Amino acid sequence: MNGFLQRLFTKKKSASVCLIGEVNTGKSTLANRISKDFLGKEMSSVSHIAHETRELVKLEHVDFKIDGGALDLTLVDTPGIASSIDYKEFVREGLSEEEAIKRAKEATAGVISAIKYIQEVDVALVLMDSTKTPFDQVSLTLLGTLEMQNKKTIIVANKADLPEAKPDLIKSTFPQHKVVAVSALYGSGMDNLYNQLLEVAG
Amino acid sequence: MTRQSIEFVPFGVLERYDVSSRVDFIIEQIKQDRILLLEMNMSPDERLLLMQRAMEQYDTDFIGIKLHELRIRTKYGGFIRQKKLESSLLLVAPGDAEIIQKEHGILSVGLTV
Repeated sequence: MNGFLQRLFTKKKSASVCLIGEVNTGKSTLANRISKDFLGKEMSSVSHIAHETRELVKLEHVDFKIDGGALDLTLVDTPGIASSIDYKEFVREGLSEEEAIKRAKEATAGVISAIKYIQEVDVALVLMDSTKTPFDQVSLTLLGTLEMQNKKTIIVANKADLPEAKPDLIKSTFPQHKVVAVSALYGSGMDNLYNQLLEVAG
Repeated sequence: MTRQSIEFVPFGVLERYDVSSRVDFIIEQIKQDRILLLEMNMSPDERLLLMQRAMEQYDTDFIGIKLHELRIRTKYGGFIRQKKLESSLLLVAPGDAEIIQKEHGILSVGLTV
C-alpha cells in the first residue's frame, strides 16, 4: 500500500535529454534504441548517407523506468553538427546534383537548429564514434560549450561493437566527463547508459 | 584562376572587433579562399557561433569552414630555471580544405584548386 501511495503522489522528475554530436555518430540509431526500449517504437529514420536527420525530432513523455527509478523524458534527436557540408559528397552517394544541393541546404538549417537548441537542454548525450580519434573540433567545441553553460553531459562512445573501436581512448581523452561505451545498433552497454542517465538527470 | 593564400591575422587586428564582428570578418576572409592563422584562440561558444554563421551563409560557392587548434610550446630560460610557455593559434580554412594531422604532429592542409 505504501508503495502504491508513493507512486500516486510522487511526480516523476521531467528531463529534456538531447542527443547531439557530429554527423554519422549514430544519434538517430541511439534515439531509436531508447525509444524502442521504453515506447516500443522507433522515432527517427537512419541512412548511410550523412545528414539524414535534418530537423529536430522530439518525443515527449517517454516513460523512462529502470530498477533504480523513473523519469518523464523528452527525448530530442538533433541533426549532426558540422562546420562544413559538401553537397558533392551526396552526389558521390548517388543523389542528383539538384537533390544533393537541396539536402545540403536542409542540412545547414538542421545544424543551425541543433546549435540553437543546446541552450534548452537539461542533459546532453554527446555522441562520438569510437572508431575515430576523438579530437574533432566539432566535438571539442560542443563539449566546451556545454561545459561553459554548465549543462549535464554524458559522452556516449558509440559503435563499440566494431573491431576498430577504441572507447577507452575517448575515456582517457575526457577524464572529466562520464563516458559510456555502447553499441546503439546491437544494444550493448545500454543498461549502463540508462543508469548513468538516471543518476545525472534524476 | 583563383589564387589561395595563407594569412596570419595578429591579435591586434582581432581584438578590435567584438565577437560577432570578428566572426563576420573571419567568414568574409574565408569566402575569398584564404586560410587564416589567428593569433587568438576562440572560446567554444565563439567557435560554435562561427560554425552557425558559416552555415547561415551556405551556398554552393561557400560550403562552410574547417577549424584546427594549433598548440605552441616554447621553452626558455637556463638549464636550471627552464620555463615552459604554452599558447595556441587557430587555423580556419575553407570547408573543402582537408586538414590532416600526420605523424609527429605535422599538419597538412590540402586545398582543391
